[in-house]
Amino acid sequence: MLEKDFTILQNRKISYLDNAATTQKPKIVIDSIKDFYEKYNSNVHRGLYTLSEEATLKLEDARKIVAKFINADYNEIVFVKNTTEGLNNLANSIERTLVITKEHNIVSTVIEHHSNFVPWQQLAKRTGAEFRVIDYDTKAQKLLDLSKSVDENTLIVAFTGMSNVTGLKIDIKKIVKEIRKKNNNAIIIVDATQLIAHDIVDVKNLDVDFLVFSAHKVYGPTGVGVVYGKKLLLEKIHPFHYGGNMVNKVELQDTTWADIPEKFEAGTIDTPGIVAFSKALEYLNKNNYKKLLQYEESLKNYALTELRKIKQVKIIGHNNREVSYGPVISFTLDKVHPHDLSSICDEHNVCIRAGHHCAQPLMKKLGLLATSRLSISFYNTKADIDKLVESIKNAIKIIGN
Amino acid sequence: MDELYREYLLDHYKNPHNKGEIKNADIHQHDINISCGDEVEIYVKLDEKNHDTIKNIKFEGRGCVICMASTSILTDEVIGKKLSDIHKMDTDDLLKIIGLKLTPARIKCAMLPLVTIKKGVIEYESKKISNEKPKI
Repeated sequence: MLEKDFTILQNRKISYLDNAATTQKPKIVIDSIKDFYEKYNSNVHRGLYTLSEEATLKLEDARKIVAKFINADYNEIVFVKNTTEGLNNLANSIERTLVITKEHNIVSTVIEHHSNFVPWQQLAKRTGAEFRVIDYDTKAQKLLDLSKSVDENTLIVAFTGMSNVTGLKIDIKKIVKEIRKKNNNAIIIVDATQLIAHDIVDVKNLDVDFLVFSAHKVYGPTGVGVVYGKKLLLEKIHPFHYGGNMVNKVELQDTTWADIPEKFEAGTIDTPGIVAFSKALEYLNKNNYKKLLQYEESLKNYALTELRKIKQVKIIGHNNREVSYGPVISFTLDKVHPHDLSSICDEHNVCIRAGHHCAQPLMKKLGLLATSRLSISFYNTKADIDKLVESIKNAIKIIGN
Repeated sequence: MDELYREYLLDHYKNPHNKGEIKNADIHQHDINISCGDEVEIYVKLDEKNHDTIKNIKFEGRGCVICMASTSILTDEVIGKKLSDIHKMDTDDLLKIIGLKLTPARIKCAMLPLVTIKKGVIEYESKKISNEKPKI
């Protein structure tokens, strides 16, 4: 669907199945960056002239569009560089706000991407807090009960909304309820990097405290990330980056902070990128995002059916009916290393991923060193999947005999 | 199509040369590419007189075609070479030996055996130096 809007797909004649790494951008997003530089470029929040005021307006309109996309209020949206920066900033801001000791614990899971694992592991290490890692049941293919590791000493619970390796979706709402029952003060942080491109996210309904994602995984440009935070929490936590824009009154010995969200946006931010990102979200809305996601689901099922026909293919996950999976499929191929499969796919102009997918703890748990991974977007077609299947058969013919 | 996976490369992959272990090897080194899990273990026997030339080399390992074939070809190549020659070998030399043009990601696969041998040689030589140091 809509593949005509993504010029790179025509320019390079590729079957792009690495959407979990980054999505391609519709023309309207690419044009928006040019348009901004040609018509509005100036520094926001600074100039008292029309051009700067218009640029500021563009930025704040974009913030409203992003807020609406996840059902947040507009001053609950903080712009950062990407998910990784957002999560690191949160870890550092929380560390500067709370007194964390060895009595406390921080909870995460074994299925996380490194970006939602290492910051918490290191925060625990720095403060002496216990780092509790929720295990993954490889047989049942689900996360063990998160709330069992939560007690009155839990400060932070950080988990992903959707695995970038197996596509497993987490029932965020249910888990949040369970955590809150055990400890109503624990700060709940969700990494929505994958989920945001494959589900409708409503932060009010989910009742999470923070939710972080990158624009480039949901059809926006690289260099823009979003930290959603509940208003009161954003007001309570201390900023991590200091500098221009984020201050109110600066005196020789002390400084007061700007209101949220500017308090967390030190320095000049990527306004053209943010505006372009809002165009991406408008594009999704205009094309009935829900329908696009349904199409992705049907294409995922087609891919699973076709892959299962090849007996040498072993799919990781995607066979537990009690949980749901996004259109991200990891698999291994008997006698063919994922790197070799990737190279052979490349020769067929099919782009797939190979490796540990920045999730080493999960890979260890699965007993795997590397997998191949395809990840689907609505601009993919059955023909893309067919080309992948053909490449896999060719790899078996060349190497796997 | 399939230019990378030429017949000679697949031959080395499917029937690798110098596969195995050497008991009492002078150099024994293991290394792994954590990003993909390619793994190589090298055993080297040096000449008995001067201990500066590779007399025999064997390897164990697992990984992709590029890594395994490169290890097979390289182990053939280094037999009879002086340790000082190993130090001088670089990426370009290796790519010439295996006869491939590779993208940066795949160069890492191909380089693993050379990186491992070099590490082993450095370790062997530094051990030798510390053994030769007069005892205090």
